[in-house]
Amino acid sequence: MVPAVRRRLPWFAIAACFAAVGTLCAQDTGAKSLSALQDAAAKRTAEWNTLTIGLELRLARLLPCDPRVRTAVDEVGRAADTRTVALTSYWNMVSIQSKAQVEAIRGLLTLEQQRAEDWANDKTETEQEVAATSGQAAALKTSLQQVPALANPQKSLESLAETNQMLAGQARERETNGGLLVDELRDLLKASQARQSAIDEQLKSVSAEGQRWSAYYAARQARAQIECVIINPAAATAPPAARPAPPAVRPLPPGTKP
Amino acid sequence: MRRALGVLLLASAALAQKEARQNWRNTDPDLERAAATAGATLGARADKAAAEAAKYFGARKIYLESLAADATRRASTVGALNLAPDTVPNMEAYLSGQTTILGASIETIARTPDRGIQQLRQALERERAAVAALTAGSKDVQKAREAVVQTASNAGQARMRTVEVYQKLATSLKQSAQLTEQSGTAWAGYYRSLSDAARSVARPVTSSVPEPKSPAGVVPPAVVARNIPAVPLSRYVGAWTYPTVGARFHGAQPLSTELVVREENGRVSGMLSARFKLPPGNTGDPVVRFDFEGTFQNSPTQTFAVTTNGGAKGTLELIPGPAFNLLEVNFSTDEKAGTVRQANFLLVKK
Repeated sequence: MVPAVRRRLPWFAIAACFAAVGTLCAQDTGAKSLSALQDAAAKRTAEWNTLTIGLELRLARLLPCDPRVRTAVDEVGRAADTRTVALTSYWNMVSIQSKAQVEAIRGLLTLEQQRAEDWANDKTETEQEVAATSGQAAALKTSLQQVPALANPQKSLESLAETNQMLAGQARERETNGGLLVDELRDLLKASQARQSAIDEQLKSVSAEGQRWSAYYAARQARAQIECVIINPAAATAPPAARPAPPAVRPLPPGTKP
Repeated sequence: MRRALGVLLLASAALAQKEARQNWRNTDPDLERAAATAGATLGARADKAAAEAAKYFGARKIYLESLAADATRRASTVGALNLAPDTVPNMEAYLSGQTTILGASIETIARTPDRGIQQLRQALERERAAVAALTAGSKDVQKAREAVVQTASNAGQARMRTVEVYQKLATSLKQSAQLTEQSGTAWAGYYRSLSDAARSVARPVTSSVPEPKSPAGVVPPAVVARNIPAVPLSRYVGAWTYPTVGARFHGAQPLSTELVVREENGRVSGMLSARFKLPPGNTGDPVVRFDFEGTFQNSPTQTFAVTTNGGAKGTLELIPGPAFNLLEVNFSTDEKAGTVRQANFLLVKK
């Protein structure tokens, strides 16, 4: 049997692209580059989709040994590879950003756990202020009995005691919210880690899907070659030079379930 | 690096406010208790407490504002991760169609014995297997995609809740910072009013016998003959010096001071000589010296007109201190370049 394998983007190029994306991400993990990768993936997908849907219609109009048959299948295969690279680049970037977020959240959780003590101390200090001001007011009240002119400062002190109560209330609220924040950050860390796992799975899924489409186009190219050989046996003597299918995925033997 | 710097600055602000609070609270814990008895010295004491309070409230405000800024910065650290809308096209119909076509083709040529046709059948079967792999794989792709969407949604909701708590904290801290600033102003007002109240205290009652009423314009002869201060003469008369330990002053800081007050037949005379610490760069005269004389007035505060050795005219107040051996001195002179024009300090009796 003549191995009819189409020309495809070399897989080392894909790997090089991943590396390039990694470097790019190290330089700029901003939303802008993610958005650009997202646009590129959507565009490549649309191009490949159009070519795939129209492939059989194009081939049906060509004779079996028409060189445009091979060209047409190659073109769709290249579009599929380009799409896979674009999608992988996009999900790689998503993965890098997601990992950075997981680390940032982990760091925040540590900081907020440490800060819990600060909130508690702050609450204690504001409560001490309330007590101290009340003590001052009580002391001044004693003096007020001897010096009536101290009535105004006494009023000021009472007003300050009320303000201190408000400040202590706010500090108490912050202590509660500080504890709540630690709980929320724990939830967020857990949810972000789950998202990270899903993104990693998505990356694997994109790669596997790319290999399956490569295998399909290889099989389609092989069938076209055999159709040509049936019509023109001489064509079998000049098989086109081509790379083998990627090692990860080979065409399955007939009757084998994927 | 930036985070570490932020943590360091925050820790420094926390420490500064803590120390400022301790300083303030330790400055004069008995101020209010002494308000009735300290007399005019309460002014200087209240001023000191007010200065420390101002430091504390300033530091406290900075600390709270730093915490608020930090909470806002931390909230922004938990940024949203925007995922693309689904870019996986639905290839189900295409793959299903291909499966049908390939199956029909295989069925058509299945019983043809020609070798070439059988090779084609095998090729078709391989192609059908590849399509079957794609059909099965598309479910995995969809599943993986849905998992990302679901987990990203969960993370997004958790993120929003976290940001909300950060915002609550930031708002509370900003409100506290504002209230702290207002509180600082109110404390300054309190100390001022305390000082004013203490200074305006009427002379203490020294006798339970009501003063004899005299007809308008008629001054009792005893008062004309000799004014007696409202407090014992010993609280003014004698040799006084600036203490080396526990010194209290307001305004220019004395380095050394000697005061002598004499009384003879109702006449007061005395001499004050003081050396002050001048601010850096000030090349003026740090020494003030003057003699004074007059009579005692019927009030705790004794006021005398003075002319300094530099020729500046002014007034000198002698006010009994919070203890029997303490005397508050308050003097001010008219403007004369390069001289100490006013000072307020406590002296101890030699």
